[in-house]
Amino acid sequence: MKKAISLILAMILALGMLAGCGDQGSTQPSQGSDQPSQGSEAQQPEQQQPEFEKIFRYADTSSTQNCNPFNNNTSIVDYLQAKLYNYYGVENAATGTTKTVIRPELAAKEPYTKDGDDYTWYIELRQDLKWANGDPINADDFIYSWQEALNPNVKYSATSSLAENQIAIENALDYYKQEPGSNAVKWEDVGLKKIDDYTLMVKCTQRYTAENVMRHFQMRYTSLVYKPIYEQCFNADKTENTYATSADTIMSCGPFELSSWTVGAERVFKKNPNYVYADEIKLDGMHVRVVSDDATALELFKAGEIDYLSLGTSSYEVYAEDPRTISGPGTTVRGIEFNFTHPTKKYLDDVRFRQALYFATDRDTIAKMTNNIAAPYFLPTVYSMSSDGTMLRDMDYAKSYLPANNGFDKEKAKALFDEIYNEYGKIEVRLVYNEAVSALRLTSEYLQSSWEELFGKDRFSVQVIAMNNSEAVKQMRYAWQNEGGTDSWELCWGAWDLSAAVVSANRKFERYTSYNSNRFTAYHNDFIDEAYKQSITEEYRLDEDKLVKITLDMEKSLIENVDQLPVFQAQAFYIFSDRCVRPTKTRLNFVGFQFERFDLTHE
Amino acid sequence: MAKYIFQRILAAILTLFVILTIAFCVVRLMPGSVFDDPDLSDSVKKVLEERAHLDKPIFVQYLYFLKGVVTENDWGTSVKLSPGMPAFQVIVQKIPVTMALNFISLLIAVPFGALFGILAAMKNKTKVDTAISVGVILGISIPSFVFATCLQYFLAYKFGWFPILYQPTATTAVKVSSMVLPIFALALSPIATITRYLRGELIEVLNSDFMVLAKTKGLNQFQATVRHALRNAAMPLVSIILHMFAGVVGGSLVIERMFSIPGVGGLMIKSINALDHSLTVAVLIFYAMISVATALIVDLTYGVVDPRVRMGGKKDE
Repeated sequence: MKKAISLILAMILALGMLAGCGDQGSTQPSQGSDQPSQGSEAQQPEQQQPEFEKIFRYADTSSTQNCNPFNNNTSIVDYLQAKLYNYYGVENAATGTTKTVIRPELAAKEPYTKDGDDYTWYIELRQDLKWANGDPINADDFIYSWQEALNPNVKYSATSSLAENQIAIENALDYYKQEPGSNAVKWEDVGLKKIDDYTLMVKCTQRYTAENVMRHFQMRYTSLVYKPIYEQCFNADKTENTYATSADTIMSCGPFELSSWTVGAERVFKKNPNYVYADEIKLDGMHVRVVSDDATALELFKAGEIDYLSLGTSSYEVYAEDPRTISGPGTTVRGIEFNFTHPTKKYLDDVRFRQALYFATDRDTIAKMTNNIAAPYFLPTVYSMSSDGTMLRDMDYAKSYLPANNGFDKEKAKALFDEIYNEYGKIEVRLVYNEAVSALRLTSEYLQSSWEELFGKDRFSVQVIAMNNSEAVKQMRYAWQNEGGTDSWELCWGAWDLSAAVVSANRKFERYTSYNSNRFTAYHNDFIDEAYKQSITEEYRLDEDKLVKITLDMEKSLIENVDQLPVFQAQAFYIFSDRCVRPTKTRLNFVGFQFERFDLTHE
Repeated sequence: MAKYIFQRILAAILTLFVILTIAFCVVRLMPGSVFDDPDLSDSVKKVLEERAHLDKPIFVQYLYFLKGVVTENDWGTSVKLSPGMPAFQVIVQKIPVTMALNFISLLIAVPFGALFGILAAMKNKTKVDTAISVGVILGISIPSFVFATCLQYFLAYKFGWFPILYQPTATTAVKVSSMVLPIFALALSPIATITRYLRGELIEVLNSDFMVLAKTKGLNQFQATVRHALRNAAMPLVSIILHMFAGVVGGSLVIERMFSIPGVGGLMIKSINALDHSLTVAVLIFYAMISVATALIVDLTYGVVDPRVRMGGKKDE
């Protein structure tokens, strides 16, 4: 017995030592974390001391463990890294309207071509650029960063977008895709060059507009990495890199720098006085807590410990009537897919059946029930393709083809269904939804009862099935990948868009083509197939009006054919503490609320 | 004894190998791909899958995985949650805070559980026993997150006595005070469990013949209980407490989430949802290692404490 007790005590002692020396492991504050570095202090312009330290505090559900711009596609990177060009939310005081515009950030001015060569773009850098530690930034930093972003030995999963997204850069994708260690495509062959210390050259494979080039170089993957730290973060065979996985392995050139970072718990930012637009940054810093639990975030807001709260389902109930609560439309339109290749239920491929469901869907009730936006359309309200920032949904032509009453027309639906019933007999379908999204469960159950009631339970029945999203997607794709289709589903919720579609709305329709390898179901709309191909040609890309028209035509065709049944556009709700002064009243595309440009009125 | 230890270690290694094989196959056969991103073109996706050997049959993938583990101690690299970081490093980074939290809660639970257990047994069938038994039932039946919610709402939000969240970079005093509520919430169930076991064992032992003998030799109730009864009643507790150690590093998903503690709790679910297969396998193996090691320690402890266990009934060893 004594031996047993001794053993237990020894174990307790060992574990105690482990525990005692722990708790610091994930916390890696930089030295002197709360004080500006000497270099920074020296360059900070003289300004009146604020009466209090302006620290904006908020809770974030993202427990990101990596701020490497090549590996992380969240807004955290935007706080730390400036880009050549960047989006900027502006508000018209007279009209109260807001819009997002793009402006040079590290670049000195808009890109330009010369000598009639429309394939080669030149980007001039500002000459006074500095990293947060005071080191100068010049063209070499960009070339080094881009070479590393496309490094074939590392192959960051997202950085292929640097090679081809808004623009396609000569040989860049081939360089990225080549075998590790291969020298088939040399870096010298890639269309990213330094002309001099403050001029970069980008050689494209097609003709583009300056707007295209600016939109390309506002992407996070085009950001800079700080060479001295980046080189130290490689593993032995230079195939992995741990840059920006702690506060001391990252260097900022954006509005803020990280003063401490406890992975999964909190991030503390302080103002970077060397940021190119430092005079626009009124905050001294930001304190971000990682809070996954809705209820805990709500308590923090109520207790005044955070200034901003993204309202989840439970917290929305608390603040639904609060005048401070504001809504922000999302970029996702939720819709229902049809199993076109179902081996027995041929009505799924009959446009009359799909139209019957389209007109039988009471989107206003669903929107009210789920706090979302009724969407009889495919292009969400936040999509814009115009250089002046006009939203597609605000255009007259976009409004002209939308049915009245958000597409809810009982008589039309009944008439169409009668035809289907007479031809196919009783209709029985299963509707699969993603179990993780409560709005989909609510909507599915509502559709089940409302459709059955409208068409008659003896003629139409819906079975609602909850499923893991990955499994549902796999099942949907199997239907067209498998010759002869599958009878495992009839209707299934689907929402999956290219991020590039927010600025290039035509690209949204790539997923509805019959040749897209990522398509959910066997779409076969000939007009979409042809129009999409046209929309990515130079003829349309370089002509804004033509591109807008063909994009809206594609949406019109999808609505007429109901290749997918659009139901609602997701919407989120937010609330801010009274001390926050926001640069714009509403949440904007690309920039969100622009926390970095907030001001605070009191402690 | 050496042979016994060798046998147990060998069995533990074999168990781990089987778990590793099953874990790898189950995780890799899950639907979806970590590179299933609409922003990636087919050709890029293909290149990325080739790099991660995902284009190969599962057996070949398994051989690559085993080779990495055996020759380079490489358990794979996280692709989604901590891109570029070795999977085991992600776990190791999170262990200290989880261990500190859970270990302290266990350290509190053992003496309090023992105290309440002894008290309930000595005051058997009195109001004290009834009160402790009610507490035990509540402690075992109330989920820790309910208790944690109450603590967070009343003690942190309403009264403001403690921070609502864990404060990793605050001053030591604030940091310690921010750990009080999660530790308290985590300790409740172990206290109740230990109390229940000890009470039951002690009541049985207190009525045995050797206790009567001890008292007739002149020991008072307290002395007889501590010197004789507690020693005998503590035997079953050894395995209970040792098994609680498995939970020490396993973390607590709900408590860590509620108090925003950056521990290992929830890492498994997050990695599964993110389709970060390397990390999921590493987390599974990590938990398996903890469980197997705990079982091994329990086996060895029994072997040390009770020679009949290690001898397996043989007299010639």
